[in-house]
Amino acid sequence: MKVEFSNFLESSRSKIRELVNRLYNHFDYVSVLGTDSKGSFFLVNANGVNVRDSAWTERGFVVRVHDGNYREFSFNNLDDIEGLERTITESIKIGSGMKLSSYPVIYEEKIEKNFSTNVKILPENVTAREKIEKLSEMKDIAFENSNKLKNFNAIYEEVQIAKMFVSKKKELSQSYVWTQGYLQPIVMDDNNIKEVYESFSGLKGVELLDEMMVKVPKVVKEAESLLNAERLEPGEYDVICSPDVAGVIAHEAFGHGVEMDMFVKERAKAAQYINKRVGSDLVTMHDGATAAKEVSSYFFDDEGTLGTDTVVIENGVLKAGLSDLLSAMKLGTKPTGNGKRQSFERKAYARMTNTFFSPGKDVLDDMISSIKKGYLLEKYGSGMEDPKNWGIQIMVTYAREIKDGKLTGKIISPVIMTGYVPDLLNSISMVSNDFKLSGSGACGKGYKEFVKVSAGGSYIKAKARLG
Amino acid sequence: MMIDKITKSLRATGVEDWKIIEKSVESKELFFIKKTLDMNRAKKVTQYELTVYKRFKEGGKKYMGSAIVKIHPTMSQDEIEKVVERALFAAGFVKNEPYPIVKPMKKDLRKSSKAFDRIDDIVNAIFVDDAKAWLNSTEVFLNVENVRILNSVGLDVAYSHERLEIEFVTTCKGKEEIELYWDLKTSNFSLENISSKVTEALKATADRAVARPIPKVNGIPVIFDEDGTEEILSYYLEKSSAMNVYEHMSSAKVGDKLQGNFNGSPVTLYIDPTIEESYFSKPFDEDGLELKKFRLIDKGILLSYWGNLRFSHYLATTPTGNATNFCVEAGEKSIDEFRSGKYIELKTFSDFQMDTLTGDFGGEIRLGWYCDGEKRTPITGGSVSGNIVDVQETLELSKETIREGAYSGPRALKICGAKIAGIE
Repeated sequence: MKVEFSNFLESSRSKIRELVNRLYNHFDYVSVLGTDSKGSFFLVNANGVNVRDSAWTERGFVVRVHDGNYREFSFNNLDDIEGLERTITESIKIGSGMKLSSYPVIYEEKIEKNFSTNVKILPENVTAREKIEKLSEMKDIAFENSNKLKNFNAIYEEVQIAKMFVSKKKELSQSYVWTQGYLQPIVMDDNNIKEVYESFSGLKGVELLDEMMVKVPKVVKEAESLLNAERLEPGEYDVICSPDVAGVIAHEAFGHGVEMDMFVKERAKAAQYINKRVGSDLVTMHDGATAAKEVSSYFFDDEGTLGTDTVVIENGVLKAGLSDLLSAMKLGTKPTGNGKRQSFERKAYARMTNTFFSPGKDVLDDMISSIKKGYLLEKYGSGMEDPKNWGIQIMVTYAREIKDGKLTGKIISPVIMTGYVPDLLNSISMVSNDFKLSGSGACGKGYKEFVKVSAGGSYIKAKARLG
Repeated sequence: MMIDKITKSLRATGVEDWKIIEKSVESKELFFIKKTLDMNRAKKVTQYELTVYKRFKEGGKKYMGSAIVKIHPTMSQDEIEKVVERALFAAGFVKNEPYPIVKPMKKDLRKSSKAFDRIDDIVNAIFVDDAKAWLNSTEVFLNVENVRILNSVGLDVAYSHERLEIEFVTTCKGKEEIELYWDLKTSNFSLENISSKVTEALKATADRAVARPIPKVNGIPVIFDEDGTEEILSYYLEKSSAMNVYEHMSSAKVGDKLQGNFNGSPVTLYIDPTIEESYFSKPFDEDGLELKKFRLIDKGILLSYWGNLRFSHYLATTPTGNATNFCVEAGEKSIDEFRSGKYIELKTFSDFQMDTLTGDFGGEIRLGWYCDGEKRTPITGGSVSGNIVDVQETLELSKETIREGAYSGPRALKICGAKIAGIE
């Protein structure tokens, strides 16, 4: 079913055009991004139900103007366009003592286009009651499957994105739906309390709930197995990273490091490594809004640049970075459509979209067989980037022990994976022929500016320092 | 005017119990690369969050459903009415145990702000000179916020808040250029305070520039200086949460010895929403409940849970409101006294993580020092990990204190038994 565009944005178009025209009396470039995204969040657990609008719900505008450098103003009231023109010109004035950066005016080619996607079941076609009942059923199945379960969160979130970009030469609009879900059992025995999660996401509609339902028994058993987890002896090991963990490596290790606003700030070591080897021949990595169909697949970014597919690393050689419009102007490169905002209230930065390692030719069983002593790293909790120094930190929820080419059944939890990114990527010796992307959660730049991204890839075999 | 439109829709749809939060934010935002202003932004937005409650019975049992929706200032009366209808319908399937909403009270603590007049002075205070390290990039967010909370039984309270966030990255050249990341969130606009935070960050960056890979050591005490201290102590705050107890994320009971049989420092912990310079302080929580300072843990013994009206009602405990800031009483030893014999002292991490459910903690080390008993050497890389339940017996708190973000308390803590994943 087709995802319809926002009536509100459509009806605001003439006012926005009027504002753009008025602001051209003061500035030599003006653009406006309008957003009207709506969504709902549902959580059911043993103690109750939580229903609220999704945190990604927003309706508002951000105007960007050029006056030697670029300035922006975010607003969410359209009552008085003449008054808004005055407020914008006054609010973005700055003190005279500051040294200002200089940018040329953005060059634009004329384009007018409307984009939209289709989903199997539109969120608006299923009632809140039906969604709550399905999540309640998941919770009931979970409790039927374990007597160690203390609580079980079944979480589902649906968001319908609508964005409009208006400038003198561009008139773009897009609408699409993404959904995500979590199954999160909390188990307890006499000694321990543990939790684990299974996540689901995609450019999908309410059909995601059916994908979640069938995975409930598996995730409950997974949580129970953590109650017997042992701690790890720190050291360097042969590891196999699941597509989830491989994805977070792609994202943290190189994704953040090739965000090209970091090149402008001289914060990225990657800037000195373009066309140089940074990983083994088996490493090919992509990022792009059009590189895959997941939660960060869009038609144009928050600066009105059309989405692309960037080959970041090709056979171990660093090829290109990801840029927002202003960074590309500073660096003299072509923008890649990676200018993203947390919301209309925040600045656009160079951000990742769908980031992944391309699949290889190996088979997981062969990869396990090739390890004398090591670990299969299954799920991650979080990761942190270090673009300047290429350090990496990934909190891994649990790992399975491998001895003499076989999984022993022993579970290790938690595990911290750290290291130097090129060492890690150069150590990749096998890549499986599987491929999986995951787009639940959000990615920050530092500790703020959260945006939707997806990451993933294949099983990869590497050497890593675990703690 | 929007409040009138929303209440009109609430009446029209027959909603009996509701809560509205109106939040207006004006901001000035500056983005520097080195000392050059790369871009500036401003913001003027107002958001409305409506909670619709529905009391109903099913199978002889009483429930209190609710649904939270966002109302935008550009919504028409008809649009608002449809959103309210949707929320009311959804609330009818939310089978939560009944709980009260905040009683009537009227208090308007809003005041006009001249914070934006100070932005040039704030910028000047940030750009301090240092011979070795420098500011690579700096982002300044100065927000003036006005919040009003109303509900269906006559609550109408309001307050204003000035908030400053300075995110900055410091760089220094050693063998190669290295950087550290800092995020200062405060409502203290003292220029001396801002300059001193930046100066301290530049000094730490210069230390990281000459740091060596962390050695392979184990079984020696670990001192957490600032980064990590708040996160580790937040374990005790989360164990005391009424919501976590109700949701089975904590099994702590009033009177429990949360620290077990410890040999080190006792933990005495408060929540305090009144700290003037805290970015997180506020006089009312999201329900409009008036917040006060409250002692939760005394010398390791849980005195009371903290929680909002709903979860406090479920546990039949005094509602404290949602926690804003948490404070821990200082210990008796100085950080210098912690530094005896062999030890590892850790200053900053990539992203220190504390799992308050399991007690597991850890992080990749960006800067620390290793002392072999005589010589103190800056170190970097590797990681530290452990579980607070396993090591809390040895926990010692410093007598030096800090006030940072939502935390006020000992600047450092020392533990034995954490694992270090060293490099050389």
